[in-house]
This record gives sequence, structure tokens and C-alpha cells, in this order.
Amino acid sequence: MKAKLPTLCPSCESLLDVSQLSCGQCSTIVQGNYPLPVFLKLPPKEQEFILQFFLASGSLKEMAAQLGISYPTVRNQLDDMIQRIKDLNI
Amino acid sequence: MNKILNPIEYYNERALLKANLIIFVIGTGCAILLRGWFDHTFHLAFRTNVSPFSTLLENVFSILLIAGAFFATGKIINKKTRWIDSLNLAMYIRIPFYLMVLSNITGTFSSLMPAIEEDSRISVRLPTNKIDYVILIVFSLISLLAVILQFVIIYKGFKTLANAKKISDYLILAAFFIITMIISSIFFKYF
Repeated sequence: MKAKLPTLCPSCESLLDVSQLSCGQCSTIVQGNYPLPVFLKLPPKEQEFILQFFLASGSLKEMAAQLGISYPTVRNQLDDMIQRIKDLNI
Repeated sequence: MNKILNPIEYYNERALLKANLIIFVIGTGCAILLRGWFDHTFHLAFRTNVSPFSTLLENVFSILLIAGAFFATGKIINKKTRWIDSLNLAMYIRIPFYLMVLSNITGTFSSLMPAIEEDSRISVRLPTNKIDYVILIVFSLISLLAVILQFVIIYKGFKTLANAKKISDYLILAAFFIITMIISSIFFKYF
């Protein structure tokens, strides 16, 4: 099972920051305080949508055909996602 | 079921337009044959004699007015609203009317019209036996179901085509619908 990256604090539900990174080869550990990239702040479903959008060269029509849904449905999903990213105050 | 109630969400616009055109031809044909009369955008009545051209014109005009209402409201709340989606939804929501046209297959409703038109007083004759009551109740329930079905299709379809979320979006749409009813009533009265 692929572990899911937690982005929200289980205690207060605030966005988590990155405080430790480690090398899988030599076990070197880097510590600090780094904010999560915008992409990782989104839910996995939306991350997948953005990836598909990128792979379809930004064509909503192509995406709609691939996903088996209509153009306005894909466009609405994209608009909602844009609004959500704007709401993250980036 | 979701695909039937909201085809705009799932189907490609061109495929849907082709299907809608076929439904339009069959539906209008049935309305002409069964003496249906669209006297404004959201109403179906029956006559003893209908002109095929006027029924066709009424249906086309109603569809264009409703599509215009969807498009104008959609543009107000979301600039990305497209005409083809508005037209598809306007054509699709006519299906309950086409189904209701079938209720005049025996000519019962169209035969009632001359009496109502000639006499300014409308006399109501209550059913005399149980079977008449059952028929009346079943027909009323089917009509109610058709209206509910039309509302659900409008609600879901408009939500998809304009990304409508707020109640105020639907209030604007309702206002446009009232305007289409007034325009169509005037148009059908004089033309």
C-alpha cells in the first residue's frame, strides 16, 4: 500500500510544514522548516486532475474524452480548483 | 439514472445535440399527430385542429427562448457558459412534454377544448364511476411527475452548464423564464 502524505494537522487541521527530509540511500537527515508546495496542499484527487490536465497538453476537450465526462463538467472542476488555490492565499 | 437526469454532465455536446435533434423530430411529429399545442414556453395544450407548421414554429421558438434564458443567466454568473450546452438543455427538457402529448392518443383532451373556448363559463363534470376517478388520479400523478422531472433536469443541467451554486443564480434563471413565457405568449397570440 502506498502511504498517503498527510498535509493537515490531525490535531488542529492546519496545514503542515516540512520539518525533516531524509536520504533513502545514506540516511542523511536534513532538518528545517519548509512550507508545503502548492501542489501538495491539494487533495490527491485534485493533484491527479492537474497531472491529467498537464498530460493532455491543457486540452479540456481531450481530458473530457479521456475521463468519459462532458466538457462543462471538466471546466467546472478546473474552475473550482482555481478558486480553491486562490483561497489558499498563495 | 444520473446520466438520464443530467446528460450535460456526461455526454459530448455534439453527440447530445444529434440525439436531441432526433428527439425533437419525433416529439414534434407526435405533437402534430396528437394535436398538441405549445402555447407558451412551459405549457402544453390540445386542439381539435393543429397546423403542423404552427406547432413546429411554436416548439422551435420555445426551445430558442429557453436556450436564450439559460445562456443569458449563465453568462451573468459564469462567462464561460456556452450556447451549445444551453441549446442542448433547452431541447432535452422538452422530453416530458413529448411524453405528455401521448396522453391525447384517444383524442380526449383535444375534444374538450372547443367547449371551453366557446363557453366563457367553464363547467367541471366530476367523474361518475371509480374507473374515471382512478384514470384522473393516475393522469394527475403522471403530470406531476413530469413537472418534477423537468425541474430536476433544469436544476442539475443548469448547475453543470453554468457552474451554478447559489440560490440567487436560480432566481435569476426563474426571472428569465417568466420573461420567456411573456414573450412567447405574446408571439404565439399574434403570429
